[in-house]
Amino acid sequence: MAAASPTFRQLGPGRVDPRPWLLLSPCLATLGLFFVVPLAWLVRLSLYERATGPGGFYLADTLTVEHYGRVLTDPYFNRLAFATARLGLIVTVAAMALAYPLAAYLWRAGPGLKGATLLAVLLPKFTNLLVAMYGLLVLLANAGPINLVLLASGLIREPLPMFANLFAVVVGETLIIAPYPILIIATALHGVDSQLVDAARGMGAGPLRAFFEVPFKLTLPSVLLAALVSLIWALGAFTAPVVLGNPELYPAAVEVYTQTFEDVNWPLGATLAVVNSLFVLVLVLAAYLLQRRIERGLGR
Amino acid sequence: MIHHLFALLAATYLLAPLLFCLLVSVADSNTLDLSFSTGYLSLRWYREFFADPRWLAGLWNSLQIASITVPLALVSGTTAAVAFERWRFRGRALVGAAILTPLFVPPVVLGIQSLAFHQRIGLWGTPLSIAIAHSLWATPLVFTVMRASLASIDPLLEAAACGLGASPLRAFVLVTAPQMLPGFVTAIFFAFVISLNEFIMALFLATPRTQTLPTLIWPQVRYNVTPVVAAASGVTILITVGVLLVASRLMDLRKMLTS
Amino acid sequence: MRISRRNDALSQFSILNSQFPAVELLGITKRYGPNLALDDVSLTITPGELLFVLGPSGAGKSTLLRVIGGYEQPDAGRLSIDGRPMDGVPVHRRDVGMVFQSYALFPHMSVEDNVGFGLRMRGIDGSERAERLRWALDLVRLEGMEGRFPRQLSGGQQQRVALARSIAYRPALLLLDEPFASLDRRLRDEMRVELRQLQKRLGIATIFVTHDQEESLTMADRVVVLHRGKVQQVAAPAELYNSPANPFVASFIGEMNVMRGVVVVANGTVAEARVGGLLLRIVSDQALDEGDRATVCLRAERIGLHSRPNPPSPFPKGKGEPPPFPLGEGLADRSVTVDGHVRFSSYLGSSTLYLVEMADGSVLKVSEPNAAGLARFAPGDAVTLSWPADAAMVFKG
Repeated sequence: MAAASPTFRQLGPGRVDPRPWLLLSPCLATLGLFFVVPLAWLVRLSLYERATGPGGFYLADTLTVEHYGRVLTDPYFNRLAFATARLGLIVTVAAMALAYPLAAYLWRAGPGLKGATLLAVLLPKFTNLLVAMYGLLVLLANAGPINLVLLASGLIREPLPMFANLFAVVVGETLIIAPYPILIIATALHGVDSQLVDAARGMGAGPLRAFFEVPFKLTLPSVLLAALVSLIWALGAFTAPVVLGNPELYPAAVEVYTQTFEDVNWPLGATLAVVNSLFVLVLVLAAYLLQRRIERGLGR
Repeated sequence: MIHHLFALLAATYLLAPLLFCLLVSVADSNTLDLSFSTGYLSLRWYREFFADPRWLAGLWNSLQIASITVPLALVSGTTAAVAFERWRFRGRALVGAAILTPLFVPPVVLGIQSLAFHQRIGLWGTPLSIAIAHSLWATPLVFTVMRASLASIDPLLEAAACGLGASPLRAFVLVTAPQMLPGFVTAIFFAFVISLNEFIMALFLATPRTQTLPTLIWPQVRYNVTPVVAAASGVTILITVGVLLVASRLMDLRKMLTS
Repeated sequence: MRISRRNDALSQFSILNSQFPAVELLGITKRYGPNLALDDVSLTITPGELLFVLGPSGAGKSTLLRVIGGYEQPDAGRLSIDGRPMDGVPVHRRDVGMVFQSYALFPHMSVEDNVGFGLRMRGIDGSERAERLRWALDLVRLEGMEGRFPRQLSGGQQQRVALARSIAYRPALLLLDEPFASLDRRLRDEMRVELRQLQKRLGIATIFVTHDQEESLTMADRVVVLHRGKVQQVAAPAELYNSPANPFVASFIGEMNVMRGVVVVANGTVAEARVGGLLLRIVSDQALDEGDRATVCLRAERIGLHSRPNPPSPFPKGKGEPPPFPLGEGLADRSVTVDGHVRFSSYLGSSTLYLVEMADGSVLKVSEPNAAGLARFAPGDAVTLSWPADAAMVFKG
């Protein structure tokens, strides 16, 4: 039943007010036409055979599950899955390790420092990721400033290999992803009364314990959400691996690109994308159920 | 004390790459070697950037696409926000989640699905195609910002306007809409910047005619790293900062006018 | 859509001399889910009248206002304003001015634009608009504030702007929803006087909603008492105070002692009722029978207090306990007396409110003006209470 509309609006004839739906139509129509339909089309595409000759991207009106078969069984793709999952997990852990302390810092910071920190967190998001990766490449290069400083101070004898490896990719991708969990956790902490920590300390808890017991437990659902969001983005990592990594480390997202543009095997690329999305969907569902469990535990 | 140090390190980590990129773009050396003892600050890379028609075409495309994305996202996002903040209707939670879903889909998936679909319907290769893909992210953001803006406006004011003789539509236009202005400006800024800097979807959808600045930077970064790339990057940073300044000026101006 | 508005001078004339009631409500009922917010409310308001709607929170007062203003549709009943039926008439076409509890001033518009909004909607501009603006602002004593913005004004000033805004276009009816609720005491008292004077000057029928009974007593021409959506009584303040229609109205206004008892002996309208452990003489306006249940309401200020060593009536001294049947000598004796002790006193400056406990443990509220500014009694003092038997209001049941 459509509930009563705000007091000053007269309800039209009949029970269901059409007006909100009229207002929603541009958004929903665009969403349907340019998000849902392409997604369905992508699934259909993954079931096409690849194009046989030049000039085509796929063979229309065919039906095959060979690409799914390859993705699920071919050892190349198994390694790919492993590389993707490994990178995803490492980056998530790194991002969360950075995010929670920084969000806690934001929460307790005075107005000036708060603004500055917030700016530092948000600015990368407002600029080109590629640019940031390029900057990182410069920083981490053999002839880059970090190595120069380390060499000059005599701490090392040869430049540290800090790019084209997993380290560089993790550093880069964490940079890209970190703002999301930072903001999610910071928002959640914002809703926690900071006097609670003082109350806990007054009752004898040490500073770390007080923080753990009160705000951390209260924001647990958001922490999980932040971890989930980080994982979703980390599993779709593209920019950092491709700029700062090497072909052995490329995760699934890069492979999608390769299949689409270099091998011109659109159906296979589509298959990979679909499998990736399905995996993400399963993760989201699992997280949702887990969150419900936790909320029940917290007595909400 | 130690937490301040930590925050400082974190902030450095987050900002350093950008700063370095800017530094490189004004360095005089030809390679990535940053020995400032030999070089000094120069704008040669920017000059090289602006002299190259391909870079300029890329810049123009980026700006053009961003200016299509913004109205698309504004219309979709704002109408949806008004529907959510002024009405209660069945299925709200579901529709709200649906609108936000594209934000959680990896950009690579969005890229390839848009490519496949746009190719199929003949949209591929147009600036509109890339703008539509960008609006998949921009619309939910505008939606969120405008919802927050509307939520902060007292709905009683519209009722008061009606009581004074304004029709519901006129009440909205005269009372609520002006108060949405700061949110509007913020939303425009977000949408513009998102589109300007978006890289992955553009990578999938761009054709030689519709290369955006990020997609032009991409092969350079991957294979042939000259500091002109840094200049291109610097240009995008500067445009972003410029838009931010304009946005905040506009909002300050408005506050000044109404006090 | 412009509302046609009659010429200014003519409008005042025609409002006061309209043969139609300003507002007429017939059987208005409004439900919110299972809650009955308004229950068969019928009311007629005469042109130029200042009517108060009084009741506790949740009584339906604001709902009534919103129905009249058009912000809510009633589930049943008819409403007409100045003779025009309001069925199907939307908010913006009813010629009503409303002042909200939170003022609802437009923050992005200046005082001038706020006050002139209604004029703008009616297509009044130019010199006539300027004149009306000036008039409205003068009326609420805010001359010179045209350029200010709401956030630069104090609470009292915002209140006046809200008022000016709603009268600038001379509506047929003015609705006020607890407009003084957020003002401090002194300002509230000032505004009460001003508002009443203003209302009389303008001659606009006005409905004022409040839960403050003192406010309604001091300002109203008539008061409607609402309780749980039903009209309890409609009367002028004095009548409301002295002849309440039921125990709810009686106890809502003023400091009232409410006692429940059973009639023991009756003789027409005079009787003796057992109330708690006391036997009291009561006088009702209806015939009473032995065994009838009665609710006896006695105003705190109608009880006389006397210190105990010198009781005014011929009872045995020294004991301090009420004789079992203090009124034994015939029902013609018209004064009621009870002994007790002061348990609590509340000094209110010009008067003192005492809580006096009787022998049976029941407590009565007694209010007494302070001669020379001081309270006469203190907790612990032995006192005798007395009142004329017909001072108490008696309700059957």
